[in-house]
Amino acid sequence: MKRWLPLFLMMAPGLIYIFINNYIPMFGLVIAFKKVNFQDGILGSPWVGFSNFKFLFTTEDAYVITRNTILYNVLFITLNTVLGIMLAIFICDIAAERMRKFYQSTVLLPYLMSIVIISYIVYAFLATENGMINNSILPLLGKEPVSWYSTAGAWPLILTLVNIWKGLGYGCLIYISSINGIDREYFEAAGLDGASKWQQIRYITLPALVPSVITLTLLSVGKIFYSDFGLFYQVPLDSGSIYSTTNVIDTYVYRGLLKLGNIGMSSAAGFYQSLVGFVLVLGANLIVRRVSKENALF
Amino acid sequence: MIRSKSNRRFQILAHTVLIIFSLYIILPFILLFLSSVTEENTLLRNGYSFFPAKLSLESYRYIFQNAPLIFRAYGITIIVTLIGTFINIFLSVMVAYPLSLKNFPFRRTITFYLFFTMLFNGGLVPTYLMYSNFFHIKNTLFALIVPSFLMSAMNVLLIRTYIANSIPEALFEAAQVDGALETRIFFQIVLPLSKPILVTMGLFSGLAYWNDWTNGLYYITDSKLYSIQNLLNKMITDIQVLTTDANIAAQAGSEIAKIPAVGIRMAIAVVAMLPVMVLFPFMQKYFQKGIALGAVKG
Amino acid sequence: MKKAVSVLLTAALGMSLLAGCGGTDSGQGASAAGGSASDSAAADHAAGNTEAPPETAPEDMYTVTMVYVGNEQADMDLVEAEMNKILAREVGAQIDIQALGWGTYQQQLQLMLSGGEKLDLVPVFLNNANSYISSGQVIDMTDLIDQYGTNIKESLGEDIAKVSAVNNYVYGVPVEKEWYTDSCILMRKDIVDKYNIDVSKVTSLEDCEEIFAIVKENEPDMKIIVGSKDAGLLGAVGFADILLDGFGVLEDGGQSTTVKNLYETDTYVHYAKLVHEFYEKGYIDKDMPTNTDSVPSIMKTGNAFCYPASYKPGVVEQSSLECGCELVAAKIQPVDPYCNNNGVSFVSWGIARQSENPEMAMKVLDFMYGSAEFMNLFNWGIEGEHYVVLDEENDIIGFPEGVDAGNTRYNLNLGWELPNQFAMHIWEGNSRETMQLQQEMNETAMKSKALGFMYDYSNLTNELTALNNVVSEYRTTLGCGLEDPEAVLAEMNEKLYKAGLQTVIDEKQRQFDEWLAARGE
Repeated sequence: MKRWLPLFLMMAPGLIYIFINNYIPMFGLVIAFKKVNFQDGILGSPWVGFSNFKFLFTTEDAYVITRNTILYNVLFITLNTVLGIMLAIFICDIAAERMRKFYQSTVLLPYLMSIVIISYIVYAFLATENGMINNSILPLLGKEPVSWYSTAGAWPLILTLVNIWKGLGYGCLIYISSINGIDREYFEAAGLDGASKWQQIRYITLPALVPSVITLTLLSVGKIFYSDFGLFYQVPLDSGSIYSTTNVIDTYVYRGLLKLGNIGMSSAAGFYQSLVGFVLVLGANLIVRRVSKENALF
Repeated sequence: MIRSKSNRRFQILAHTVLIIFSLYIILPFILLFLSSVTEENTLLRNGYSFFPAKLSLESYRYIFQNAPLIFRAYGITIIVTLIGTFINIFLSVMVAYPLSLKNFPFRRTITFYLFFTMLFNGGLVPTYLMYSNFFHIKNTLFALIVPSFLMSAMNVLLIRTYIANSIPEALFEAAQVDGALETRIFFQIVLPLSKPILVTMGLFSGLAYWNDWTNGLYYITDSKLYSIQNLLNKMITDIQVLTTDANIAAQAGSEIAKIPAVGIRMAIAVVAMLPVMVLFPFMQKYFQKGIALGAVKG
Repeated sequence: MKKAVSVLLTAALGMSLLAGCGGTDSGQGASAAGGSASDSAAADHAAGNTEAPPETAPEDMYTVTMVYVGNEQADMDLVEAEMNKILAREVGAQIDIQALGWGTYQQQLQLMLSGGEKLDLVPVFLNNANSYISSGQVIDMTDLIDQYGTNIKESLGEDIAKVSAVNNYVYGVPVEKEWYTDSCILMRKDIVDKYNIDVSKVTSLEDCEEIFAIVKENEPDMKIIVGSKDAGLLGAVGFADILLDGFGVLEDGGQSTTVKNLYETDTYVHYAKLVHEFYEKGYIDKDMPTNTDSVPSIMKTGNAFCYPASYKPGVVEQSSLECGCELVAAKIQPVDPYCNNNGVSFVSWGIARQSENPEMAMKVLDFMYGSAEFMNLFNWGIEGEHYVVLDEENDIIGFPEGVDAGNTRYNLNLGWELPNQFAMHIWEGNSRETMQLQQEMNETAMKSKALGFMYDYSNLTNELTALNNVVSEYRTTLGCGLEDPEAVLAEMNEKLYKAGLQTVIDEKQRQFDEWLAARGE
């Protein structure tokens, strides 16, 4: 135990911060079960059982928003992992250093953009009368202008493209640093043995990335009932006629409560989203533990 | 490295894919920039285009009328980002290292303690009550640094995964046999060898601080303490409400008349990104260095 | 693990208890203060509001914290200093004014009203009233208005002073502005003149069709009707008292007493079809459903003909200035201008639950309604520095030399949000007459039978969440006439009823009937 004491002390500041920043406010989870009245304080407000949750399930839209949320998340997790790994491998193997730096910076650039600005840019491409695509590209192909913001079928693709554009850099960079952490000697030895580039990727690089992939995926699974609010609300400009493909749990809750300002109901929604993610992640972690113990999250 | 035929083919493929992807990333930025220098009437009449008919720097002139405000906000953002990132990395790695040791007691419990915070949170109101009523950070610089971003469980878990998988445990054991203290192991082995991931996490944390407007929204009402993103966010959300909320729009004619045009909004987005884009090559140097250091270990 | 959990729980419990205590504390404080207030009320009343209060140094006086929604002003500190001189002399209080942005106020104010920071006077926008009341974030002002509201009652009238109320819980005092709803389309005068169109003959949206046809034919490249996406063209035609949210309305500007589904009324269906016809004929800007630009900036391009707006005297002059071109108004409202709570109570000034001295907050608020000097400071800043009198006789003011809208350090120009804009100087380009006309219209406009009635929806939140989602799905489609309304309305109504519209209508009707009965009508 004596050996570990300094390590515990080392961890203390971080763990205390998490306690203050994250755990203390969790008393607020009771808000989901209360009709809050600030005159009486949060604890003094009356309990209302599960009635704050009702609105999430009694709606006609419950199926659509749940389906959209899950499908988009699964799609995004898969694409970001596959493309992120692919680009990371490519970038790490670029011999010309200048180009490597250039690619590496490029991937991260969209990280600097706020989502509202992104929605302006998307609008610049897609606007019905003023948009770049309708103005410049479709006429070249001899096609009629499309009113994108009322064409529901186009949005799964548009949202996916925007998500890749904005989100790929994060995973990609983590994979790059993992690849850079692999001992160069492995590659050199493999090269001497006559292993082709593909074989090196298959047998050295990919296995080394497995832990990072698992960690990132498990973390995303925990968020599977959440979605990037800006992406689904700001980017489609809250256009009603495309709700069938853009409405997700977060946007539904936002639209419903915007005018009501009911914090009990918004807490309930958050609680529900967290709970589902939590259960899923526990399950997924259990499976990972079965397969390879050291890669499990906890 | 051995230059085989398969390697050359690989280089060509990698460059092709990365160039296509870079174009995909960069084109929207170019459109953003071009919209910011397109003359206002041209933009509204002819629409967005990669080949604007008439250029104008009017938008930037308008922005620089407010130069003192903008520079002040830059100053705030830079201070906050530097301090915040530094503390974040330090706290994170101090928690991550012990967790990476396979026989560290309570390893699973503490990981779970961290992971739990990624799924459940108490919600905005309780967090706000705590920070404003008990810590009194409203309208202070602390408000921009402390809540949410000082340490994130995500960073800790990724650093932990990296250390556990990329630094051979034999190194630690050898050091222990030599009688080195845990703290010395931490500073002399762990810190230098985990540089790639620390630089990556530092970058993410830095960008998170740079891009954050939520803390400012919740805890800052004094415009002297606005960060650059708060300035941008305030302007954009104001515009959104004033142009879409019919009830307010009907009243606030004089406010609506003051709304900056699209070109100006685009220009402000450019101005908000500019310093990071300028600093990027500089950061890249450290980034590369970190990765190189990580690579020569062993 | 178990231990950790229990430690956690205790800590959390402690926290919430503390938070709870904080809440109750201020609540009790308020009620206790309310009790003692009634004693001193009589004395204060006798003394009147104009007489000097007991001598206290300004630094010992209570500081009333007030927030408004709008742009921050560079010279706010200077103006506050002037205000404090007046307040110290006349009321015996000090003031601290803070600005919240249009896009952020909703969230920021919600947080401020949940927390314990110092806060007294807050603007309560119509949509937020119910939630502020049901979560106890603003106090009931009934007694305070009775005791201290001399100027308020004089300026607004006894009825209007307490019109912002749900179940007799008066959450705020409405501001002096135009209270009625009237609709028009503002058209460019040069085009109207060019084709010899007589706008004064227009009395309805139907009449406009001819005009649009002429412009479309002769100016093929011009966007004819532009506007914001939220309401579109359809939303700009007022004809019913929408009773807060439009889920159950009173037709004929509130002259009916039967609550009906707006989307099934003949008038709505008629105009929905007409708007769709306009869209098909190419009169409505195709970018309207996604518009992110302000209307004035679109009009300034010179490539747009007209836009829908709400009508009030002076709107033509004001909008012409904003759009940079001369405009004329074509009135299109199918019913006479009418007064309802959505107009009168659009913004009301309430007192935050955490106010440490609600009486003083009330006194300061009441003082504002009666003091032209104070209102001018608030809206226009300091005379000679932020504005100068241009025309003494007509009370017209403007910027001093060398100052303009771009570099001014104080020009709030938010008359409609502040307590009493009718007491203020008139900015150049507007006139005293239009102000007087507005005031007269407030008196003479048709009053909705539900004026003063706001329904309590605290038990209908589940239905309303679903209903809000349904409406936001179809609002733009209908408002801009994108699709054939017959099919859209059928689909929408089905969804609305499934979401519980009938429950909301029934409840509204029940509360309305009770309210009418209580008024003895």
